[in-house]
Amino acid sequence: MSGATPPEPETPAGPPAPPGRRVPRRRLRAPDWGRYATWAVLCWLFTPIAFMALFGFNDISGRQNVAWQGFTLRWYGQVFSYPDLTAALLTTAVVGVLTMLVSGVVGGLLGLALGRYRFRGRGATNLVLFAAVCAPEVVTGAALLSLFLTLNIATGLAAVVLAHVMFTVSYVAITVRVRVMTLDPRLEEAARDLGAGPWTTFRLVTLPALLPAVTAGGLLALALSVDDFVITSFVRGDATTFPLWVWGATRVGIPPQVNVMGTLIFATGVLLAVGNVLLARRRR
Amino acid sequence: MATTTDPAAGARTAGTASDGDGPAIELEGVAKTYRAGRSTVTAVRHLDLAVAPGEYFAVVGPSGCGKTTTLRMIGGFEEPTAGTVRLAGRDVTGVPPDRRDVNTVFQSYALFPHMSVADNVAFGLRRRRVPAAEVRRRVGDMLDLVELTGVASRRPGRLSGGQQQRVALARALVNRPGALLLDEPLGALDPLLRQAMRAELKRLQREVGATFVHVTHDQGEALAMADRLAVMAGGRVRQTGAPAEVYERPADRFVAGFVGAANLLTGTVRTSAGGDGYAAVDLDGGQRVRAATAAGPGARIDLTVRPEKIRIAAAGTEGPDGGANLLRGTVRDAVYQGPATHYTVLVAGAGAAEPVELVVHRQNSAAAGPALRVGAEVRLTWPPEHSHVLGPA
Ligand SMILES: Nc1ncnc2c1ncn2[C@@H]1O[C@H](COP(=O)(O)OP(=O)(O)O)[C@@H](O)[C@H]1O
Ligand SMILES: [Mg+2]
Repeated sequence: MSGATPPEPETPAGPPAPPGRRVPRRRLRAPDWGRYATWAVLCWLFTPIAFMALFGFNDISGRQNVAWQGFTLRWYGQVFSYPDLTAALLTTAVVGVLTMLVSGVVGGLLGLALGRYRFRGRGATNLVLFAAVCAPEVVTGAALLSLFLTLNIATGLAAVVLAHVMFTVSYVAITVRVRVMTLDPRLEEAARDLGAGPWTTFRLVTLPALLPAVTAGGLLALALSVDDFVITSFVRGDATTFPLWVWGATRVGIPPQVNVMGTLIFATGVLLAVGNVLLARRRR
Repeated sequence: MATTTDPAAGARTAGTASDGDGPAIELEGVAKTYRAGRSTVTAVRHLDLAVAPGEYFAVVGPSGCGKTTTLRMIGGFEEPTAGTVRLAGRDVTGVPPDRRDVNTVFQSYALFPHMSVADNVAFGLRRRRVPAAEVRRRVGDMLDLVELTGVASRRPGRLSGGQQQRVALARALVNRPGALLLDEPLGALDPLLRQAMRAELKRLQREVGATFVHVTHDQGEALAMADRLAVMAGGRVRQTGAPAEVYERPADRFVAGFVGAANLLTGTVRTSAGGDGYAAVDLDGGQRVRAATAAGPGARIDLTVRPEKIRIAAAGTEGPDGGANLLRGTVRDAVYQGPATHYTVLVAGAGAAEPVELVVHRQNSAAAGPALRVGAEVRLTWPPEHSHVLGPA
């Protein structure tokens, strides 16, 4: 699209183009709204993140990190200077990784069963999965708390992991189920045909095919767990996660270390996502 | 090829086609009914089939007649609802696919997408714990045989359809199975490649000497490739035999119409067969022809004449056609096909009887006379041995 050439008048009913010289069809010269809209949405999404990252470099004194004072790398050096913040971050990491692993395995198997087999209660299980995704977190959190209290399960770290698995397992199961349903059943038959038993077939053919979906679901579970505030706050007991610590700190002012950690968490998430995409591409 | 002259070959696969003279594959009274919810579909009604060791056997029939189901019961992916499947004399009913000495080339190829071509081909050997060095050698030989050495390290997704098909073949054949089952192996290829792969498949079968069971809906493919073929319809075998046998002497109307083109005629026996074995038959159109049949006078029979058995000539050019069947008619349609011209000839009935349309193929050979025009009066002649009488359909 060169804007330099003067627009020729359109001649739709004119004589046909002389043979050998193809007349290019002129495109409508409208502003490219689609592209602008995409950039606008991207800006809208990334501006808060950019600000968070930027204020991790803010050279402030005191605890109010609201106005730009100048550039420093100080907070990156002192990122672990609040022991309880560091502990909260660690708790979040432990809870997140455990959630990812348990949800990945349980959700993966659930997705496999739902996508592959017809069994009694399959419809109900599907419904429950979607209900778990759709239910408002406040409701889930409150319900879990009363459940834990009724069953005499102590609130705290273990309860938080249990709760996180409960609300993230659906995402893994749904992701994996879709993959299972698009998986050619002939692949597994071919493996059996070539002498592989049921378990070898699963290990060498089914699992590699499902792994990208399981990984994607697991990463989603990790992201949801790291970021969860509402459900965690119900069942936390005396455990504190990163989001809960940040919320508690708002009253006294959020130190720039939080921005630094936030930036690092975001960067980790992006790296994991990109890594998963690259791995999936290499597998094709 | 190196692969076929390997002394260690036969030792590993127990019960291959080569032991004993019994059939490599035998189906006896096999039936299969699928249950889909509350309704049932009978895919195979009653099947008796025997495939000899080393034979190139084709199963041909229209779509939905139960060919794939039959193959899947031999491979072990479906259990028959009735009957027995025997491989090299052993009853394998209930034996899972990984413990049957047959390999399948799936219609969709079903190549493992996350493995290289070489790993795909090595899959079966590794499952049987063949030593790594031997795996490497046999995979290499097999890739040579199907001319895929250059793409050994690629993923199947990056190959053309023809190459994928050869990977599927190599992956199955490298195990030296007692029988190779092929489900529409050429179905996904474009017509030109399909033609080339016919010869390629035959060459492979000759070189490895395995029993091949080739399922197809393309009767031309079955005729061209098979040593013997079974024509299936509606979950049953209608006829089994060598291609020429099935083509020249179809068992019933269905086989006659499905395998090649055929003129189907019905009539009544007028006088039973004389000393030469031919009976006089009055066609329903009133024409009289002679055909070999044991039926007595008054019996209703179906007979068929293949279009290329009929001689067509302009009326008035009487030739020495002593003893031949003779019909007179008018050219209704002429379709030039290159090597041959296909004529549709309307043979008038006697009195109020319906006229009969016959299709005649005439070779456009050097000896052929001038082309016949639409509307030309012609005479059709064929020796009575080519009026083939059909059994009940
Ligand atoms: N898994 C199945 N469940 C139910 N019906 C089936 C199944 N597989 C095949 N059929 C039915 O069985 C019949 C024969 O199918 P198939 O063996 O695939 O025929 P072909 O390979 O000759 O086209 C068809 O009517 C088909 O719809
Ligand atoms: Mg089929």
